[in-house]
Amino acid sequence: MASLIEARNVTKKYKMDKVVVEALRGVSIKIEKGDFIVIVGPSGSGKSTLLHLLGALDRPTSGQVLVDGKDISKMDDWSLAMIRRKKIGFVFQSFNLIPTLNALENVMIPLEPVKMDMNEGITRARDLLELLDMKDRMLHKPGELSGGQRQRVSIARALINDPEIILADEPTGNLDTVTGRKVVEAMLHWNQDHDKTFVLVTHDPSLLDFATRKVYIRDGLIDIQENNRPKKNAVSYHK
Amino acid sequence: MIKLSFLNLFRRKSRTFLSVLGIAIGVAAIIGLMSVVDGVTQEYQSIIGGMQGVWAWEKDVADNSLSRLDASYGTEIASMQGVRVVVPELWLVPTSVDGKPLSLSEASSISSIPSIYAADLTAYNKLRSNIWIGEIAEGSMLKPGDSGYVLIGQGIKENMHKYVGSTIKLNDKKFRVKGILKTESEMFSGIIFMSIEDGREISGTPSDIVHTFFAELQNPAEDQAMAQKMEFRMGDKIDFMTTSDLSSVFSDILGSFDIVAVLIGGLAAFVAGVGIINTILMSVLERTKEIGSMMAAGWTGGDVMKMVLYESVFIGMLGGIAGIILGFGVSEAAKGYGIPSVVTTTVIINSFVFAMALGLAAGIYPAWRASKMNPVEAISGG
Repeated sequence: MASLIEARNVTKKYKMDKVVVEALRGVSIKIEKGDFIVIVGPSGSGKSTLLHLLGALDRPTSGQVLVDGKDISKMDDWSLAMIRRKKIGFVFQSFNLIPTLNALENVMIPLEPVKMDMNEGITRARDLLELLDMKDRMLHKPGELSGGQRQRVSIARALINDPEIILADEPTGNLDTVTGRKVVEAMLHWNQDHDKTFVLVTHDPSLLDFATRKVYIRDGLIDIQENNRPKKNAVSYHK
Repeated sequence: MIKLSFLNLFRRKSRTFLSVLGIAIGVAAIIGLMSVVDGVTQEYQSIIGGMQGVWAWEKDVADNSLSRLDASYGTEIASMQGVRVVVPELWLVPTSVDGKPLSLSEASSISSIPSIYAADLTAYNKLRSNIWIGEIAEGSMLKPGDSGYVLIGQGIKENMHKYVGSTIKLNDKKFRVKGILKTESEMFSGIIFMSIEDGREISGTPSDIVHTFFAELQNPAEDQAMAQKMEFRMGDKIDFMTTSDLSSVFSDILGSFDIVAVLIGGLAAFVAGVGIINTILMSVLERTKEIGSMMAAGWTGGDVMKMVLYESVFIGMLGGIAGIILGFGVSEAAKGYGIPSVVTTTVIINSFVFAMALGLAAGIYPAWRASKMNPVEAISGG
């Protein structure tokens, strides 16, 4: 069975001012259905760059990134956007919610360009927020929500288009330990009970315990990649 | 998306307000100026529209009140085949009214400046319609032999508190008001109509001189041909103009005012447009992260562009609505100063469409910038 996403010997070079920075120097990784991959590494190791490439936000300088077996490196911007719309959800460290919209409306942002019945969209967003324990805060704006609640809104936003894979860049980076743990538990729930695939990039090594596969990245290369636990098993995320 | 775009405008209320105000001023300027042009046209048409004939005045003079023609020309014009009636006319400005010398600086509005139109009443009463003065609202028409009587415009009635039966002293002669003219036209409301004999008496114009002649034709459709015939016979001394020519000359003048109105308003709107570009561009740059996360969620460059264009069109719409309200204010203010002014539906629709189009045009560059953002850079805040 083809991997959901596969990176083959991927490199990525950036030009910062006049200096060329080599963020990735030949990385290969396969993301399989049901994975809960945790990528750790120091700042500047290239982990966020890898996440952007896996999420079709960017194209590699060389190598291939295959989504459902199709190479995205030659695709145009529109095709990349379609892949992100249908297959991928993103969760960011700083949530990136729209301050003028309430939680429910923020969750529905990815549906805006999609032709979908409004009521169906609302039902879907409401169901997701309920499952994420946000039933009572749906009509609150981001300014009225705590950090953990905001991140749960952004998880619901990532899930609204029913993507196969959710990519999270430092999802607990702006949260305290307890709140961060709750957010990861929510992701585990969707991984184990709803069969969603997750790739998390983090500084926090304690999250490695939850991973089906641990990935260490350093200086633009994968240092260690090892299986940790079987999928759909082992970790109890319920309190 | 429409709701999102609309809400985005209220994130920086004062900035949006200033952009809207800029457009509103441009639109109000266009509406104000066009309303005056339309107002003047309408008033003019209400008086001139009913006149069908040929107007004769001294060759190459700048104004009808400066024209001097030999009274005998009237007989010559009247003798031509196709001419129904010829009315000898005088155009005067009184030097004093009710004993007070007339000073332009005292005039608070156009309508308070009286002007006298004197005509041969025998000929005038044979006309099919009342030329220059329009219909009579109160009192009755002057009849041949009505010496010492005048008809007055609404402006004279209101500003000088004159009614049917009042007396009014023009230069050294006292007149009794026999009727009030119906037209509320600010251009014609200062008119005083009297017999040509009375006109001669107060102005000292000799009996063998008239200022102009109006020739009513048997067949108004032949006015161009008749004017040519008259020109052929008497063109060395007299200029002949048909009333339809008069209308088109007038329309031409107003047409140029139209262009000036559009230019002034357009310039104001252009400046406002630059304001919108700035507002929207700032707002887009401030929301780089949000736009990045929208792109991450599958929004295409085109979707982002649409969102930003909605915002700028909304600014145009709000500016258009505010400008129309402001434009009505300008038009009312013009009326207060005695300037005819009317806001037509066409002007309202055109101004609104113009404001929306301006918003759309001003949004194109910021929308394009937003749509071309690199998602990775945008997510990290550019």
